[in-house]
Amino acid sequence: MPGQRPCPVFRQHDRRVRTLLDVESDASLWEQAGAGSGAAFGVLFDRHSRAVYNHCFRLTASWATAEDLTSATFLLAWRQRGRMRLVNASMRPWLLAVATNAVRSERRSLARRLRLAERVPADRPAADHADDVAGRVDDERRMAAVLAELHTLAPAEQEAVALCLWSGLSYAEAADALGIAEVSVRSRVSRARAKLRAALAPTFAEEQS
Amino acid sequence: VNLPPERDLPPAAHTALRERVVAEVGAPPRRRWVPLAAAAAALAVVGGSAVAVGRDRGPDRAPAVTGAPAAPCRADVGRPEVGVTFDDDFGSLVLRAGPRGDIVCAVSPDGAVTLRESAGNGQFSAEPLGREAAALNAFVYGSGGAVGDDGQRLAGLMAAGYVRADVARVVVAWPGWAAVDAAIDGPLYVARVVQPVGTIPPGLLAGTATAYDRDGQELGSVPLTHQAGTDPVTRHRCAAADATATGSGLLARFTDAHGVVVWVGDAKDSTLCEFDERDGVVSEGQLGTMDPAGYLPGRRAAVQPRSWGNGELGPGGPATRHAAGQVRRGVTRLVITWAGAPPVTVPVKGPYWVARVVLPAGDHPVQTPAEVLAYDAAGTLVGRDQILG
Repeated sequence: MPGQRPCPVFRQHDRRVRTLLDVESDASLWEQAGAGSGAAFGVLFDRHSRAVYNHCFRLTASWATAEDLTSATFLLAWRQRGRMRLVNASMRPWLLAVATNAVRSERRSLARRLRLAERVPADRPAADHADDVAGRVDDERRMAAVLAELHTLAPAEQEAVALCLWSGLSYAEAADALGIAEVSVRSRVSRARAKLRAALAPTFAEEQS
Repeated sequence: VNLPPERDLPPAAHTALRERVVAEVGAPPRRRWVPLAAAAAALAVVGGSAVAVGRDRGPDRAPAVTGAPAAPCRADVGRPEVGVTFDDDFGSLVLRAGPRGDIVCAVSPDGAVTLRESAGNGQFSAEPLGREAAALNAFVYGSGGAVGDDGQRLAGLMAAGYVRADVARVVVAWPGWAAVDAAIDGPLYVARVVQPVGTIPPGLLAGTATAYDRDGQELGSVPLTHQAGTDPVTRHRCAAADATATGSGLLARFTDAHGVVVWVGDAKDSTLCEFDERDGVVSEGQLGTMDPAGYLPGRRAAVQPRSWGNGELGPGGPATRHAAGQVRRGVTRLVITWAGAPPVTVPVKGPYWVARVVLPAGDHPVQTPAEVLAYDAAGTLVGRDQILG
């Protein structure tokens, strides 16, 4: 409504959030969240949800599923907060590792949910006009094609590719987040690269022609 | 690889998800335990608390000792009866033993019995330690799994045994992983520790139980060797497997109306994993570690059970009996009859088999014998054996 001024309480809240977002480290926010600060946890969500969302999409080829998994990742992260480990002062590597596990669980329960879905009428999806729906559909088709090749790799190699090559974690960060040796991550990525290169070569040649 | 560009969460979704996760911070902890299955002749452990890692003398908090065994864990174990209860953040682990047997129960904080199982296969009926004996022993070293309602996989380890009268404290430790003060009551001690599966270091197989007197002087220690049941490594295997496990790692699969049991591993080390559907929850667990190599001796019996176990399909749910083993070539079908249950027919394709029967919920005997009959393709009975506890 024109002329209406925001409630002072909300302005104060906004300022607090902005301060947290700009200044506070992940460790500090996590500590505040552990003390019961929803605002601090919200800032962590704002800071890392995009990375988690895109990581989940790359592992599922579904933006809708990625939304669910983003939520699940942060809920799991909170419930597993005793296991949280900062890597280079950032929660992101650990969150991506949690997201990877969430995707794995999602795959396991997929068949069960599909059976359930057969019995439950689907809600009509609400269109989000601000969003590029067609672009997202194209994304999903393209990602599904990539995943078809990725799934020929061993699960550990798939995770290494998603974390290091797609989500930009260093080998050391991925190793810390997964709780394994850095050399193991390197070796998985190396093996995956070789396999993917061989598998995708014909596809690239076709696209270029 | 030409990946699609990164995108932001749709604004409406961002707001909704953010509200949901922020609300979680202020919510009370929720945890629903799903006990899975017990190891053959050992037990599963559900719930528990993990404490400081790597302490030589264990945590500082006082042992949780209570007197009377929890009412839900009553069983006819004979007289005289001894019992001990280990309390932690997630409920209690109750161990009772007598001349006729023993039983262990996991009791959730709201009083529900989530596990009821034979603990030491009668070993606890042995006499408590005398004055000249070692300070303690370890009769049971079992493990199991559980999932919370958030899907988090947890693995539990338990140790229990007798202590000498001068023992005031027992610390159960898995070096580099966890340590916990055991509860001591009379001649018995029991402890459990549960951690997320992912925290278990590869190769962690054995722990140590150490006894101290009232002055903190060490009286002795015993290794917690893998006597029966599962070890943490097998837990990793089940966590990695799923109901559709295939390939050389799959020894046998059994499917019934409640879900799937798969036996995975190799000739030296294998694991049973259970995947069930109940109230929409998929549970997983280990039944035991078995060595399928070379157990068909000399004359190669037509059928030979290798291991058995009990469990439940979720807290308070139907009870289960499991068995697994091997058959001679030519056997195509097994019929297994557990006492009081309808026969279970098991199609056999390879040298290995696994089977399960699901019984109504409620108290069930600590141990149950069963008979297994083996048939060839012509329907001829070619062998039989008993599955003993």
